[in-house]
Amino acid sequence: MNSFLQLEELTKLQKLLHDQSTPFQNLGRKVTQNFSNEQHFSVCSVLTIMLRDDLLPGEERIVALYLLLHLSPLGSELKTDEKQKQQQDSKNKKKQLLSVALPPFLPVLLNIAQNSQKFNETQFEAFFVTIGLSDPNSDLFKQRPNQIGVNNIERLKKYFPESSKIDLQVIFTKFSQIESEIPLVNKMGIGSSVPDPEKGKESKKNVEDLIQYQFNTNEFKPPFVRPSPSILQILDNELIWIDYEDETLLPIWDQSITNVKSNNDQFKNLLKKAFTSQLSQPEQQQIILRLENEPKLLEDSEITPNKVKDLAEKNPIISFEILKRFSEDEEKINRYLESFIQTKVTLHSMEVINKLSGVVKKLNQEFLNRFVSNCISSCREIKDKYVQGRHVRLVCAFIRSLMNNSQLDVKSMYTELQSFCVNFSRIRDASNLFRLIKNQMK
Amino acid sequence: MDLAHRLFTQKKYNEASQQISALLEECKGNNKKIIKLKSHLALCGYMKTGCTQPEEYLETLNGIVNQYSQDLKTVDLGYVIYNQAIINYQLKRYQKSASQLESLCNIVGSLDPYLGFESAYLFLKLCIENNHISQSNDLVALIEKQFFQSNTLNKKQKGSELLTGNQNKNKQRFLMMKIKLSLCCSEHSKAALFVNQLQEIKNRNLQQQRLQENKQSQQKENPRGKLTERELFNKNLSLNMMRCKIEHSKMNLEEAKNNLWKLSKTMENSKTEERNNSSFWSSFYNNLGCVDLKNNKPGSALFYFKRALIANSQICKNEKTLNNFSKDKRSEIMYNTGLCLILLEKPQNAFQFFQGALVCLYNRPRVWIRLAECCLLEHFRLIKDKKQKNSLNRLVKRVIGQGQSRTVILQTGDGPNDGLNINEESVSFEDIVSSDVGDLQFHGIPVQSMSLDYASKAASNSILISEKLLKKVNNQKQKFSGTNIQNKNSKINENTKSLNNEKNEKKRENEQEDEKQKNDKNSNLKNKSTTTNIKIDHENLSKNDQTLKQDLEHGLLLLSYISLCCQNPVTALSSAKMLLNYKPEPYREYLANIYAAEACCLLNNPKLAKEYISKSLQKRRYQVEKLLKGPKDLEMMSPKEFESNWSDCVTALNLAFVLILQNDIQTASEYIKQASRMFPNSPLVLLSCVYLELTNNNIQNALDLLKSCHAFYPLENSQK
Repeated sequence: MNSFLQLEELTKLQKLLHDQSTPFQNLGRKVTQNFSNEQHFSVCSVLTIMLRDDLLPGEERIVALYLLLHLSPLGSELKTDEKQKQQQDSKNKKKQLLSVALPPFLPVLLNIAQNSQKFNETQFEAFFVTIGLSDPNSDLFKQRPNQIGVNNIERLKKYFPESSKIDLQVIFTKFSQIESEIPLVNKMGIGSSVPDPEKGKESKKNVEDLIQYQFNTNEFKPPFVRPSPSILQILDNELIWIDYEDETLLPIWDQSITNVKSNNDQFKNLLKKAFTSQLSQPEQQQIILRLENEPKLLEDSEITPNKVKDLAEKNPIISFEILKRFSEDEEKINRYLESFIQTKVTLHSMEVINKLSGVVKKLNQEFLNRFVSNCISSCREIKDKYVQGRHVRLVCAFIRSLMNNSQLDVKSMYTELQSFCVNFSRIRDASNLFRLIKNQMK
Repeated sequence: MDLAHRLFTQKKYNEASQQISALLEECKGNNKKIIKLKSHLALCGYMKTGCTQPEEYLETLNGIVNQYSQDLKTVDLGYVIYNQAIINYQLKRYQKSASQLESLCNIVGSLDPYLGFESAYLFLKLCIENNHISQSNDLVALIEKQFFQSNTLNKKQKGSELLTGNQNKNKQRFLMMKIKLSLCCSEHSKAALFVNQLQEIKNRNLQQQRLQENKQSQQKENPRGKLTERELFNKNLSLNMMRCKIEHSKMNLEEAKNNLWKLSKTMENSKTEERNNSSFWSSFYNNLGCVDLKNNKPGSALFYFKRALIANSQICKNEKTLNNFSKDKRSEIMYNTGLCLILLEKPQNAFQFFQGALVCLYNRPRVWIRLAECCLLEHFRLIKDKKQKNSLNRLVKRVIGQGQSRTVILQTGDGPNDGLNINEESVSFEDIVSSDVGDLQFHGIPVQSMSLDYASKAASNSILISEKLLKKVNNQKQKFSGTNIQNKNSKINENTKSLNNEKNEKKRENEQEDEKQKNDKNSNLKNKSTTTNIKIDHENLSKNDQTLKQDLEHGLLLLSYISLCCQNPVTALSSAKMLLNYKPEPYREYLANIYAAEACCLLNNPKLAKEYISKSLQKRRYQVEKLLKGPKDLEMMSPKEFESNWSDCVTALNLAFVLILQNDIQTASEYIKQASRMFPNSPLVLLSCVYLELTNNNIQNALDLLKSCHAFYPLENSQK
């Protein structure tokens, strides 16, 4: 729906407004004849703008007000009979009326009518609107506009109803309620037209001007400045640098099936390799992980005590992992540990036993005593003093670690340990160990 | 099985398939073997089609995994999962690929070392490409520990022995990734170290090659000479590739150091190496464009990006294989082109290119931010055009009538802040392409029209993605849960609910206002506690994560602004509040306070609006950062302007607005006077002054003000 009137329609409306010799009621009838129901909103808009921006002379304003009253009829719910008024509980009635919707342009009229609440004020338009709202069929509207005259309030007073047919109070309450709901921002606007008369020139205003006016529906408000955020800076790493790639990523053939028949075979092969050579860390990791996931693999791997000893020399970590898993079976672990006594003590074998002492609750005491004895005697066998000193320090650290883990019974080996410490008293670690042993004996 | 493998490597896929089918019949009941044979069969079928039917192959692999995943462990399905990941990677389904590779990396120790390395390597590549820095660092540590760190005994034994075979090749590939990662983290010295290491390996390989060449000359009469030649050819090729890579690594390094001159020289050298490789040319021109763009030459950069796009389109034209698809870097080049077009002030064109970039870069918040910015820039341009068309840049809209009845109609509504639907005037993508980059084809790119609505969606997307990524970073780094960032939508909804409640309460009882403010304060306190937690997190954020945080903040700022343009104060307020909770930098904090204040005004709460404006007053000092020039007459505030008096003027005008709402005209007039002292000719200040005079019924003063500023008073024109 086009909310604006065309030039032809505006001319019709202007003619109606100019007509001072036709009674108000006839003018009302003419407006409903000349304009379709759909156009009523546009007519009311134009009339409101004209009234707001003071574009009409006094006599035409009254006609405009009547037309607005005519096109904004109050619903029948708001009309009251004298009898009904007495019968009904006024409070209930008010409540009921508050829920009734008001015509869209009624607030304009109510704003004008509000000024007539005090009777001592001589406001012609306010009186006119109040009469129109209270009694739309008042005899006043059977008169011609030029009969009433502008600002002749005395002539209007006789038409002012003693008892209003419409409860204006209710409408005003509703009006104030609606007004309180309107956001303050919407209420702060003022008319955007500013009269700027040119001195010494005749007044010229025509329908074309009215057309321009009717586009002026917005109100003038002060600005709320809303600066927009600036564009985000283009960072150095925001530009996408493309690396040239010659690498073709293709799905891969499962080579494990061609190299090793099965995962178990792969494990066995790796273990076989571990007996003879040092494994890389990934290989070691692979064995350890397999052992963690599938401890039963050891059962089929045919590991003998001697092999474990050999393993300790090449891959001490794997040897320790295997012994750790055997430690649950006391007999088995003793059998495997026996192999460590039968051969020469090395740095790696000490490392394995040391690690084992930290994990296993209690190692076989007899084995430990014999292994420590072997360690002590291995020190004596070394002739190179530098190498011997290094070895003694390692043995001392090993014995201290066993004592810390409460694995070694010092009492049973006291004499041997004492002589070892005395023999190598020139090495600070040995004398420290001796002090520790003595303290423990106390 | 060996025979099947040999046939496969000889590209005799039909024969290999037959061989595998025969083996498949033999080993019924052995699930592990069946899986492997089935996956080989699928691979042969896939290779037979020239890698053109990845979906079919992927479906077969999915079927294998679904069928056997319950009975077997991930270790046994390792190869199948890896192949799934590689196809997903090439199809640019990065998330899927990443989850598959992650599952393999979790058990890398128990995997076949070859598979283990390939999985970890591909995952690392994926993480670097997607800017997941912390995860990439973890992976580098894992690969180093698992594959390149021999134990102490090994070290002693091997000493400085060369790495051999596959290990050598893998070491080089791994070094390339380390260089990339270092450059991503702006660790230039580290990158330089890796480049040197790579150079060393290259030199050693060269020495080996020379030795072999000598042997070859001795064996010329040997019947096996031909084979040796082929081997050497392969070696040469790989060395060439290696050299090319090293040049590129150097380029990266130079780029990161902003040594543009050296970089272009290095590029000129590499240009001669590979003449007919589209993939190379597309990367070369793209990188050249990047250099020019960094050098503030967007015009010439656009030329190179255009050439890069043409070279890139050749990759897809040649052969539609999966590998070519993965080499297609259209999205990346399009994103760069979009940035270039933004600098050239062509937001419409930039928008279309960013849309094209979305195909692969949809999970990058910055792309969504750029899309929203393009819509906003276009919005400003249209407002500016409309103003020029209708002379709307004047304070007076028109003058009606003559003589005594002459009336001045003031400018209303269509002010600089008002939203405008730009859908009607947007130009189609085809127009842009034909006008600017006519020789390029962009089929299959969904064309969305630019609008504020789209901008708001894009901003929301950027917020969601950056939040998600930040959350991931927080979880990874600090194992921090519970109080960190909540889902944006839920939070905005919560805020919306609370705002609606506030609004309703306001309607019912004005008396409850004080209580409401208490509630607000409480909620602010709650928010504060959340913010402190986030702040602690942000202290430990890397440079990359800082960018994410910046994206999140900017996304929220954009959403708040766009929501106000779209007359949606509820979303505007909730996003501004959310942004303020993140303790943004002062410039953003200032704007967020202004947006929150305007939203509060629209929601009929001038008291709260006043609080926000006073907060914005406190946040004035800001360290100036380099920024793109925005159209200043469109109220786009740069941080520089923020530091100038203009921000004071904005604050004074807005404060006056709120005071007018509260009916305190007297104080409002003082603020307006303050603003007019700072910027007497600003149309916004003049509008406020005129309003003030009119509310005080000083019509003549208002007219004098309008006439004093002749440029804004089109009286003479209208009379004509």
